[in-house]
Amino acid sequence: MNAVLTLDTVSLTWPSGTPALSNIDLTIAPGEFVAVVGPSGCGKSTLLRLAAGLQKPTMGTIHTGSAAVEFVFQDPTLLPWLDVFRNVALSLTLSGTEDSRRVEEALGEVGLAGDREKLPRQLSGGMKMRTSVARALVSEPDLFLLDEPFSAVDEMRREELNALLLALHAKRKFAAIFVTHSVSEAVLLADRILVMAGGPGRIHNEIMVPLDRGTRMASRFEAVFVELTRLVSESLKAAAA
Amino acid sequence: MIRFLRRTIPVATVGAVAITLWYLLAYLLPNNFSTATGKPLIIPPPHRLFEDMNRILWDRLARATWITTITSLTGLALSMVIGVGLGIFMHRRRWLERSLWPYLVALQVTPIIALVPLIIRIVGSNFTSRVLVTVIITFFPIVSNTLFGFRQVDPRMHDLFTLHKATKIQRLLRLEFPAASPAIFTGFRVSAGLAVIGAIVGDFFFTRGDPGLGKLISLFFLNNQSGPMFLTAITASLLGFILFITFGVANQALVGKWHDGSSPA
Repeated sequence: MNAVLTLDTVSLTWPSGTPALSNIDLTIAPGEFVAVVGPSGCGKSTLLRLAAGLQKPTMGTIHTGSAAVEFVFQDPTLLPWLDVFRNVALSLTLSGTEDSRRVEEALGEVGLAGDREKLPRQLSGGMKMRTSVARALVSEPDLFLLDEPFSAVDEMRREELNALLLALHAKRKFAAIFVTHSVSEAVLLADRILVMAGGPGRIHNEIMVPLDRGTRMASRFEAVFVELTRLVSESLKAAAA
Repeated sequence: MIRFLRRTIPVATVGAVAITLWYLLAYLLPNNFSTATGKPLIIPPPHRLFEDMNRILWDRLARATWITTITSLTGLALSMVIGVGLGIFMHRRRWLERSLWPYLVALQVTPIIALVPLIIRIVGSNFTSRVLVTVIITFFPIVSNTLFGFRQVDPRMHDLFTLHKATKIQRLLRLEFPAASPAIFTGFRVSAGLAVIGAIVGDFFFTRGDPGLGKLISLFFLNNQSGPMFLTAITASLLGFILFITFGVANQALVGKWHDGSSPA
């Protein structure tokens, strides 16, 4: 099956001459959920921006083929003058497509069907993030890029949002790259975890997560989950050293 | 009720202090009253503001208020179009901003009196000149606030629009304009107050045509009619205040429901 994303020896150097990423090779298969962890400033977010086409590499090639790519930012980045419905419909509006059914469906999937007329300022942090996820879902993406999307919400909301993301992935089968600082979140969500090292950013290690996706939330307290978390943490420490 | 009192009591208190000071000034100022007629010469006490007013003067005041309103609104409307347009261009073209900005600042701080001979020679001493002065005085806050508003747009929102392949027009109308509108409205509000000042300053220098409030103030001053002069000045203040409040209300109606920083009208 064709990959939804291929990075072939991709490097990026900032205009100041500082190398940001070096020789990144990465292939994401359709439906694959990849988490990226690494020390602050190692280039995780830059990697996502490259994958989204928001940044051009200085060397190497990036292919997304005909895959529809969506981005969920660290902050919800909702347009404050639009209500929830219109925010979610943004990608359709910009492409000139009017499809309220798709918007309604996305709102229903993230649990905001009753909040369509609210303005962003009337929403809690968790609801804003759900709106941001729904906005990305509307485009029916093949590749979902998520840049620490739940880092600003409290632990309980974060757990709910992780469960929501697992359910959405099970239903929609999109491929995803999920950048996070939380090792347990990475193990919970991913099929594969990339551990990045900095100076310049590179992939230090890849760890597969052989857990059943259907029972991830329940498996969080099992020995195998804890062992995987320890493994990723140790790899992360080695990458940061 | 408590909220209403909290809002009105400070305003009423300052108003009462101002009127008290006005009375003190009127009665303590040496030679403020004519020894022959007892009429106030420089500052009339508030209760004697209207004593020289008659039907003719009221008509002149109404007519002058109308002229000044038209001058202010015409100048302000031109400033809004020029200011927002220039602000957008300067945001889009950095070289334009770098080239123009020092001269815009220089024009803003140049005393109008220095430009009077030039304006008279080129435009004349008429309504157009008064509008031109109003534009010169009002357009800078609109340009600078538009530029500031466009600069403040969250870069991630730009990323969002880039990701969805938004056209330049979509980016302008669906992102930049709405995001910058609180700052643009702030510029409109500041300039609305300045527009009346511009129209009155223009009246002093460009005297052809129907007199506006500025010309009326100078006429009353020359005729030692301090009551009508102060009444005219108060009318000018009220006009500026009304324009300021109008833009405040418009800002609240259009932007206030989603923008946290919008101040009450």
